[in-house]
Amino acid sequence: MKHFTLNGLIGGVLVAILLTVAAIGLIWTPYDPMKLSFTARLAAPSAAHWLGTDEFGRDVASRLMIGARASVWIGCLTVGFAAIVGTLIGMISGYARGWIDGVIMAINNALLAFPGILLALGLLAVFGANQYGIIFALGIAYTPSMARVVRGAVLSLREREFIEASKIMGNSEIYTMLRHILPNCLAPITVLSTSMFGWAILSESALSFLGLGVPPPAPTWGNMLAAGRPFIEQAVWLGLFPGLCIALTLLGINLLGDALRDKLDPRMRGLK
Amino acid sequence: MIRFILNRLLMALPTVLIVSITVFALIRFIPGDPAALMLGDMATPEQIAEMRTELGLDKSMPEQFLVWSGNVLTGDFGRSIVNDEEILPLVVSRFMVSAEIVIIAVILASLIAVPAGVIAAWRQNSITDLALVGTATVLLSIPTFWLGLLLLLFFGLKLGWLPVLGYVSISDNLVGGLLYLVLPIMTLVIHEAGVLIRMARASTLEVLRLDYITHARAKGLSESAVLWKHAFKNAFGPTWTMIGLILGNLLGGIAVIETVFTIPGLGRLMVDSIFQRDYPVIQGCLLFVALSYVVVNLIVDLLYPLFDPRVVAE
Repeated sequence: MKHFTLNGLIGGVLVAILLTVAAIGLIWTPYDPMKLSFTARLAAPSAAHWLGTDEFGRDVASRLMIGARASVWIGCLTVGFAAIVGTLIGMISGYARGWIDGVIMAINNALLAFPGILLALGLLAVFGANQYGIIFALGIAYTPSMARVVRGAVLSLREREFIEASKIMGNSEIYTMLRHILPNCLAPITVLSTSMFGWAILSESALSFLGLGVPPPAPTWGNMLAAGRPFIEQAVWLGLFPGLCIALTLLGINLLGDALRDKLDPRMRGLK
Repeated sequence: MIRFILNRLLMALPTVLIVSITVFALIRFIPGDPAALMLGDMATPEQIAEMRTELGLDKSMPEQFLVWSGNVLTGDFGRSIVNDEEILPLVVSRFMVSAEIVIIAVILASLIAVPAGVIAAWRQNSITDLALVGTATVLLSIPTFWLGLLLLLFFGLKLGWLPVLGYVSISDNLVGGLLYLVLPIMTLVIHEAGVLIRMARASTLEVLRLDYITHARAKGLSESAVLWKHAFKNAFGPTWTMIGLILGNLLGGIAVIETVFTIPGLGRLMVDSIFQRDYPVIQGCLLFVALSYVVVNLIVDLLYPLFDPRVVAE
């Protein structure tokens, strides 16, 4: 049992570092992340530039801090979108049952038949490759998973006695849904949202790496990696640090997600 | 058994229909007139009107869909607006390149990860388990495009053992072609092994708690017989489904790997088409990958009874 809480601790610390760095990046960075300096091009990490400079002499550490902000922001909005829309669809579907449920779930399952990143790519072709295009594309791509999980939870909850009791007491359907069913769905929603936050950060960096994400010069970890790629032989740090930021963030979210699932998902409890 | 197969095939039909409608509708959502977009800024109103008739845009949406799906069913995916190439042969040839990498990678990853996951479950909470689960979690947290870059930097640029840029088909040059495939496959294997180790471990753990395992042990069977003959057989089902999902996801998400290693696969074709606003090609890629995802999952489901006969009875 002990090492699983240790997992949660490591994950929590990594995610806390990410959030802190992103928050500090809002008000302060060591250098102006956009300032070009042709005298300091491709400078190795030093006391002046902790993580070196890029091909335009911009400070890598400052750009990574702004990149963290972009990742957190896009991750939160994407997950927020998928969680709200998915929960709404899942609750309606699970609560209404019958043909409404049948139709919603048929569409939902067909959307799940697209690999998430592929659906996002298709949607990006529609919305255009920019920050808000990514949020919508990923948000829509993740919504079906959320809807399915919430519907499953609602289906089992609506047969329970306390829901029956709420109806007998004369509460309206909407009140029963919001007051009694929704709070009981929060555990699976939280577990899935945590994983989704990781998927969103990974997908955003992958799309930015492909050139379909946040356009340069605004820094994101993905587009920094893509821009640094031609120079990695002479400037290893350009290929190293942005990737390390993504990997450590994902590791933190994965560990935290595992710990949350162990804590919130009763089925997993007996296993550990 | 035949009922199970028919049932599963019938279940795939609505999915295929909705997937096609989605792909069809997606391209129609693009703001602006597709005909004007395709012809560019220099087009005259007459040319645009002609293009609209040619594309069938003057018909109603359901009519357009019927024409489009009729064409698709006869193998006519249309032509690229950038170079007028026929789309289906283009998509299929690029798909073969991607599929070769993805299939080899998934097979290798399964061969490594499944036994590792089973052993981790068997030795639950031991140092071996901790090391395996820890490694798996780290591996799945490393984005493939970064891992690919690091491997390229190390094996390609620093050691000079493997080619860095370009691609040679194995049908043209077996040894040369394989050399180009080593790094992309290695990248995918490392990443996907992380996912599969955890899945195999979790499903084995679930089975190891059951009474029949205790019974098998009580009969005096050796641990390896208990593990591989009794536990593994029942635990493999969820992992098998996961392998199918990974295969499909990789086909969709391989664009980043193809970008890192400059491989002319389907993912790269799709991304390039997005840059060039070549909508018919984007549509063709989307439809092809989504349908192959449906087919892969169908095959996985149809083979499932080989590992777990209970699903047929249900």
